[in-house]
Amino acid sequence: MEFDPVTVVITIAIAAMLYCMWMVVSLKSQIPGGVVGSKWNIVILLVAMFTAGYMALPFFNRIPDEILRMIVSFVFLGGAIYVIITVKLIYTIIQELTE
Amino acid sequence: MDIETIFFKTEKGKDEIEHRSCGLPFNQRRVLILVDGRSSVAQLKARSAGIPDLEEILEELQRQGLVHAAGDGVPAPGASVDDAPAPRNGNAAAGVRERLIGLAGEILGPDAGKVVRKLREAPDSEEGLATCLESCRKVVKLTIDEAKAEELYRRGRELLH
Repeated sequence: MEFDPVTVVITIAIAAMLYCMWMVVSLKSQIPGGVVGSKWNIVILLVAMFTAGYMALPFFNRIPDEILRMIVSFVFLGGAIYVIITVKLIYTIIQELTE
Repeated sequence: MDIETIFFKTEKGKDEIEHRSCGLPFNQRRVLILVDGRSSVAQLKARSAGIPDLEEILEELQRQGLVHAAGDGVPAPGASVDDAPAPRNGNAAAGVRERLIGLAGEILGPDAGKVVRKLREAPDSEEGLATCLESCRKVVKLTIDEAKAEELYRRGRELLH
């Protein structure tokens, strides 16, 4: 069997996303609400979207270019929203803990 | 059921004690009266000698919305029967701590576990409890509910003064 570094990287990425998915879901019970809890469902949704996107990676060569570009643009948009939410949460937590 | 679990009376439970509107059987009513927001299941068992199946009764009361658990694994406090304990042996801070714990259970319900644990670990002084209350406010605001955090802090400060 030929060694394919791309497959290895994709497998590691999928495994990392699955681990991330498990973490956000298990943390949910500890954050029923509040500043963090209110954003947590969006975080779960985004992580689920990324996980699905990562798992579809091996099949990307079968998808027509137009659709692929659309999927990638949505993943980028989701990534940007994810970063905004995460940074805002960290900012709020730091503000709360240092006031 | 975790024997370290602490149960609190809900508003409906307090109402039941006064008005007997649910028509609880004798043993269920006795257990409801024993629930004080500080005693663990193990302590309730010790105090309810003669009542078989205490855990099932607690579960039944929970199903009826008369009591709620404050989270598993909360360290058990010193046994006390009163609902609003007065300071004992001149230790005012210990009395205030118990009242703060009761307040946390009342406001936060089943989510009170973390806050109850923090209050139990706070130093036995007014300053220590005030600092802990401030810290609890932040925890509640970030992870439970912003309005409840403010209510806990406001009413907690009243107890401290």
